[in-house]
Amino acid sequence: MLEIQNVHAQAGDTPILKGLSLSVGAGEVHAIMGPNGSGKSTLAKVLAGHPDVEVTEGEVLYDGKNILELEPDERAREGLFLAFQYPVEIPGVSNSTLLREALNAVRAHRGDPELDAIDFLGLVKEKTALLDMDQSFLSRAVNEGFSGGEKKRNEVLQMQILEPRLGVLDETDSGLDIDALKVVAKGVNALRSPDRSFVVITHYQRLLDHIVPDFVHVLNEGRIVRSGGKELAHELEEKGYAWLEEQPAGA
Amino acid sequence: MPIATAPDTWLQSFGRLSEERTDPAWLSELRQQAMHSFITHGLPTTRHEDWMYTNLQPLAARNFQRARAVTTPAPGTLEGHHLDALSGPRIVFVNGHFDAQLTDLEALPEGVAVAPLEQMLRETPERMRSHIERLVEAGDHPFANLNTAFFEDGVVIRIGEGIEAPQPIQVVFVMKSWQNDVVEHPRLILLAEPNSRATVVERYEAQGPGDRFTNAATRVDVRAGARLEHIRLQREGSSSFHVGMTHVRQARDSSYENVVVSLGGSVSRHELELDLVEPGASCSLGGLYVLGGKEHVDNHTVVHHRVPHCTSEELYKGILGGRSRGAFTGRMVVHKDAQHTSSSQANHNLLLSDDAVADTRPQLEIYADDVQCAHGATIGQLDEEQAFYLRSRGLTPMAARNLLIHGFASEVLETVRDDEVRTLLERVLESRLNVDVT
Ligand SMILES: Nc1ncnc2c1ncn2[C@@H]1O[C@H](COP(=O)(O)OP(=O)(O)OP(=O)(O)O)[C@@H](O)[C@H]1O
Ligand SMILES: [Mg+2]
Repeated sequence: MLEIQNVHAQAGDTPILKGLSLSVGAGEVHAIMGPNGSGKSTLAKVLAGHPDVEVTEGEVLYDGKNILELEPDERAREGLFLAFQYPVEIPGVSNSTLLREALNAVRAHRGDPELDAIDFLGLVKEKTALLDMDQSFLSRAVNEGFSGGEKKRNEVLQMQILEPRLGVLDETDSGLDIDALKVVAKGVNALRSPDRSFVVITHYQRLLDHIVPDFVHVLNEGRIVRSGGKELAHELEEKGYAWLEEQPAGA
Repeated sequence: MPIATAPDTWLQSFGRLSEERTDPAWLSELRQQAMHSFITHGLPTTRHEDWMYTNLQPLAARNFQRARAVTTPAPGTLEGHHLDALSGPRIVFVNGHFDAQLTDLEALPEGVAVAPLEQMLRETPERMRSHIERLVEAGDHPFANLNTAFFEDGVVIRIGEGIEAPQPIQVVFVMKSWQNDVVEHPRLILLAEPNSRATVVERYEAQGPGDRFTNAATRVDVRAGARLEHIRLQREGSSSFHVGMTHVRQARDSSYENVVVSLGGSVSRHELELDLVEPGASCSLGGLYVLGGKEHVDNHTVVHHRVPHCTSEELYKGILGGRSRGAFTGRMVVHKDAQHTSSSQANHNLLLSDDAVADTRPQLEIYADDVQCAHGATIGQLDEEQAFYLRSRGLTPMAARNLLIHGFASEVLETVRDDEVRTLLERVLESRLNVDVT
């Protein structure tokens, strides 16, 4: 479903990703861990098509198509979703307006008709209930004045409504209290299916207790330096990243 | 040196108007004086403080002819103007002349009077006199003079004492021309009697090709304890000239909520002047201007706090694309007796292109010492991160841009109290954004 092949990427003149490869099969959940500044969010930005990140080498194939040639909105309509590490606030634009426009854009691309107001409201009610969110969120401006945890929950709400085929979650667990973490994990797990995949970026094993990954990768200095099963996350939790210093990157 | 104004054209036109009309003597005389003053003084250049952002040369160069009444268009032909967007009573003028067929005053509530000024002048000229003379009292203003010399029709609206008008009252001026260079000079008189409540929507629209000039003057009286919401929507299109002035006088404990929406024009200027003359008056002034191409809008506002315990709040926002220019001047005068004044003013501009220009000029003159005044102004661009966020959710660049612009504008539109009016404004904003505001 997703093939990242030897991707080199830079922001401005700073090289950040230095030959990153990763293969994600349909229905799989891959966790990506790694120290601060190792390039995790940069990878997410490469996938979503952020204009600040330039890919200088390599390919990203999504269903066999090179998505680096697609605009960010085309990628989204093709079923890619990024839950941002730092979701922006958009004053004056209500959550429900964004959800409706986004959903209709994605539906139109799939050839589905626009949802009418009643069906839309029904859908949104169901999803906010699933995520334990108050209805009043819908009329508020996107992320404006939201607490850190509320912003993350809002990202998952959008993902629930857009039903992407590839979800990239960038530290969606950070800033969440224990209960919120469970709710968010529930929101993600409810979407898991044989044809939907996730890349879950996190620093903490505790998220992976709830969203159980098929694979865990360690990203360091722009490359995946170790991959393993879910037990790798436990090992990292215990040992930290000091061992990275002891062996040459890429070993 | 003022700008000369093709005096022959104006004088000829004035001569014909005088022959056609049967005005009371006081009005004929008033018109004569105004005409004389206009011809003598010409139009101000950009060296005049109040006109520094607007060059009137292109307007002065034209030979505008009086717009004539046209055979009434079938109602359907005014589609696209969203005349039906508001369900309440409406009075419509085509080329400055009352149009009985497009007017619908069926829903007019008891205690609210709406009538063409022409008719009022015929039937009760003396009662109109002080209202008409007021504009001239405000000072020697070239466009006020022009309006006084040439106005043929307009509207008189009176919300009776203690009356609450449940639906917005709509006044629509449609310029409908096939020939170039026609002008209308509508005059409006709004009276909100003590403790009344109403929403009045004043609209300027145009149809058909051709350049036109609207020179409107509105006089508003908000009496003690009255609350008036007054929306002014100007959208005659990019080849039009529009000059409007609104003078408002507010009595004790009255409240006036004004929103001015300008959707462009070759030259579009609006002057709003408020006089808070009794304690406890409060006003909220909103403005939104959306321009593209080579359009030019100049908003010039003045608030006089003359007595203690009044409040004013002002927020104007500009959305400027193409090579357009949007100017804002906000003069706030707190006179020396106006203790405990509270006033705020802000002007924010969003530039959509590198060639668009925003001018912003706060002018605070404070002669009292116990006051709270705040002001701020910004000029910025669309936020890249916000745009990316929206696109990452599947919105096309255009949809993302429009949503962000809408978000920027909403702070002003949200202040509109009447739901139907707010929806109308959102619709016209949307259709404006889909044209050429890039
Ligand atoms: N626009 C930029 N210009 C220069 N350097 C940048 C830019 N964006 C990111 N970087 C740098 O690239 C490196 C990787 O950043 P990235 O955000 O991908 O790290 P991360 O792994 O997500 O870290 P964290 O765990 O703290 O979220 C950092 O050193 C960061 O400072
Ligand atoms: Mg990060």
